[in-house]
Amino acid sequence: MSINLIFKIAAVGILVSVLGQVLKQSGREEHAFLTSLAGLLLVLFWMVPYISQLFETVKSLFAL
Amino acid sequence: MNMIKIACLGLSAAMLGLFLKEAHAPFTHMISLAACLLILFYSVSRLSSVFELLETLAGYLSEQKSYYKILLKIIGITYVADFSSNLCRDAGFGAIAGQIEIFGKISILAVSAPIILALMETVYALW
Amino acid sequence: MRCGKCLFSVLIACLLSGAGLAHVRASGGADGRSSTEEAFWADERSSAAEVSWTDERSSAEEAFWADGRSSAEEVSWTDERSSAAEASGLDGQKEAEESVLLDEFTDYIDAAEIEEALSELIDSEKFSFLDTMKSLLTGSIPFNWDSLTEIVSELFLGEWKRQRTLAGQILLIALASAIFSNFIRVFDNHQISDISFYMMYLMLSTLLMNAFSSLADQVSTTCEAWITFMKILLPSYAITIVLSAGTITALGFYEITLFAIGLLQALIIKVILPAVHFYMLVLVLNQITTEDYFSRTAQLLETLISWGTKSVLGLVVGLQAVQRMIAPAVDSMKNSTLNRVVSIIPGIGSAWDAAAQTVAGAAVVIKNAAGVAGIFALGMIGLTPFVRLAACVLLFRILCAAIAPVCDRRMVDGIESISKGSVLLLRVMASALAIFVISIAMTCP
Repeated sequence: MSINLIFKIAAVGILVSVLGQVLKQSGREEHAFLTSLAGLLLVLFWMVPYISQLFETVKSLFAL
Repeated sequence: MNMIKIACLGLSAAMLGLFLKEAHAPFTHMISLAACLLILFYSVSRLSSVFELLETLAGYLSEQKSYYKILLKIIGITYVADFSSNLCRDAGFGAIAGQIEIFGKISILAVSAPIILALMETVYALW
Repeated sequence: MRCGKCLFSVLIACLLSGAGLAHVRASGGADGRSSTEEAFWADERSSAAEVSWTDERSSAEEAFWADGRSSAEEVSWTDERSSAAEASGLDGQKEAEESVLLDEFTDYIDAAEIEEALSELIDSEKFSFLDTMKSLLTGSIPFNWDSLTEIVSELFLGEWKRQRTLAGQILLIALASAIFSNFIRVFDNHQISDISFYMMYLMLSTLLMNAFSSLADQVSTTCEAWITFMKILLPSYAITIVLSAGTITALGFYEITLFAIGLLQALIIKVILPAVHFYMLVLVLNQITTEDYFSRTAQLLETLISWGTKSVLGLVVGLQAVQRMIAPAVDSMKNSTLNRVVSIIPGIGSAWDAAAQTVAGAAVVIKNAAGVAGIFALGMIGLTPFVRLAACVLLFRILCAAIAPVCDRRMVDGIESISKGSVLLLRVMASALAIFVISIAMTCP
């Protein structure tokens, strides 16, 4: 849970966009779409534990 | 984590998001979500110390501790509703944000019902 | 009643005839001087009744009246000298007479019952009705100021200590609410600030209303204590008035005081004190909402309460004043008629006259002493609640001043409502005390 998460996401985003551009240039549009989808899923996969951890903390703190 | 670190976190997330906006639209929302999550997490850990102070105050008051718990619940509901509605609004879904806020208000009303009932009962008993 | 009074006066006269004769003997003996002395005394006594003298004068009284006046004018200056010489020589004897008379009177007016009732009504044991009366009769002030200031300061500080926990709790609630509201202003949600204010104000108002209920209960207990004491004092005091002034004065005083007691009970205890309670409730509830819904109602209530107490006070004092103007004149007319008629009788006449003078004088002294002792007793009964209320008002005003910079305006106004209510209670109590004190004080001269 540190600032590295943001940089990781940013890195994934840049990578995905670059890959997408390259694939679009080489004419594989659907591959570009799949790459962006894969990148989103990866990022979500990283984030969901954080979200659940956060909500657990909030629940316990506020006794909701 | 102190203020400067949080500020740096926020600013860097914003700039990365700006950069990614041209590249790939969905990632900006991911980045803003991630940044919000991180900041919320840190603020929650700060909040716990404030809540300990409030709990000691409530202990001095020596009246029903349930009122204090209700107040805490209300603060929690507001916080979470605020957080999620702002994220939705950032993503461009203002309607969803509005609905989340309305639900938050209704649930605050529902949770604070015991306090209002107790107020009415006290007034009635005094008279 | 008249026969009883005659009989009693004759009894006392016979009892003191020895002292009366000694009085005449010690004056130096010349019959001429004693008769002129009698004339001088009769002149003094009848001059008061001269104003309301009607056509019912009998011829014997007329003759005696003219005789008395002429002889008095002739020898008035020698009489003054003789009476002055006698007064200095006879002080000890008069005191002895008076003390015998006083003991009889105090038994007659049942001071023991008053004492017993008073011991139930007053907390402190430093006050005794009988001792106060006796020290007043000897002319000394029954209190030393040191003990009085000691009692008052003890009560004041005791009340402060008792209210200190309450004040501490209120202070804590106010500070906690200030902290909460500052914290909650982070969220722009006004719902949270409303709810947190309701919560804090609920706790605060419960504390305040409980404190005020105990004060209001004590005030009504004090009013009932005053009524009980007056009911017990009234017959004895009326008897002293009968003996000193006359039956009509006593009857008037008795009736009006009973009326005042009934008024106090019906109006002040049953109507005005609950109204003060309601006033306090309205003030407290007014602060729950941000708008000012009930302040006019509270003002109306305050006007009604102050008018009510003032009109009760004015009514009773007015009735007493009117009665005081008429009744004593009628009574002294009746008394001097009786005295004049009896003193014509050759044998007992002079002794009767002297005895009647002593009886009347002593009865006036006792009546005044009993009245002042009664006023002191009323004051002592009311001392504890007065001091408690004053300490409460002061304490909560100080608390408001301390909290005002930090807290919400509504919370400060809520705390101030208890001091406003206590001020109103003080006014009601002061009016109730004034009714009785002025009634008693008006019969004194």
